[in-house]
Amino acid sequence: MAKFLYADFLENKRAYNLAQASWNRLLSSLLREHGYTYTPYINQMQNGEKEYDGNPIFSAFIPEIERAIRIIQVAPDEEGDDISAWIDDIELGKKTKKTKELVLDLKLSKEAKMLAKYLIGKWIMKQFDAATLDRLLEETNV
Amino acid sequence: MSKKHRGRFQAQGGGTEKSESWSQDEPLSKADGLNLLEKLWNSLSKKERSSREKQYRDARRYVENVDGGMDAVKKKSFRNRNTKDVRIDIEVLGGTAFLFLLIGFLLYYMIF
Repeated sequence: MAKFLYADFLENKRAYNLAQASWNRLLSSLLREHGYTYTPYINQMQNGEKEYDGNPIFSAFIPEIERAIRIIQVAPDEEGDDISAWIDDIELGKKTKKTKELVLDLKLSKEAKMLAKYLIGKWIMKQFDAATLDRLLEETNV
Repeated sequence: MSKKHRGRFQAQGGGTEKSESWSQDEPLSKADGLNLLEKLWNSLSKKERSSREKQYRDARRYVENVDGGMDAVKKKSFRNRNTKDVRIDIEVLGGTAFLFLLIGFLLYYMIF
């Protein structure tokens, strides 16, 4: 059975913040290799407070390549595969131009995190489209 | 030129790409938001609906529970977890949405 990281993140704000920080570290280390930067683009506040629902837990717009990443994290006891992913479009700011967005929807097991890291790395290097993503997920789903 | 308050509801994945959007000068009210979501739901085929019933309920409940509006940029995806990407999305791309009408108009006219 998969070992889940920060398994109680939806009930424990400290665990939630640690999970969020781990995504920050993961992306920062990947971007550093390319000299890229990122800014969060999803407003995390709702009803005057930070949302702790994991939907999304992390977002990043990378201006150097005009691509975005959104990570949705769900509780380990949710049904379905540990990780799924798709490519979406989003309009950011006042631009009408659409930004390509990689969305990862996962339960945070070690294996899912490794696959997420792999997919994010490929996304940053613009090495896949929707069809390739489907194939990668089929080959490697945990 | 795009309006200040804009966004969309989407039914995506599994070969479906349907959406209902708004773009207007005033914040979208919660009632109008729920009507748009219902309009999207009614535009889906029976098959498209059957794979999104829980996701539609979750999206609807999320909008109903918004208190004081939802400020851009906000994006929520409610995926059928037995599928790769069959889902309902809520996107607030500019301005504010889902304000309770009375509070919304008061806030809007106080600020502007």
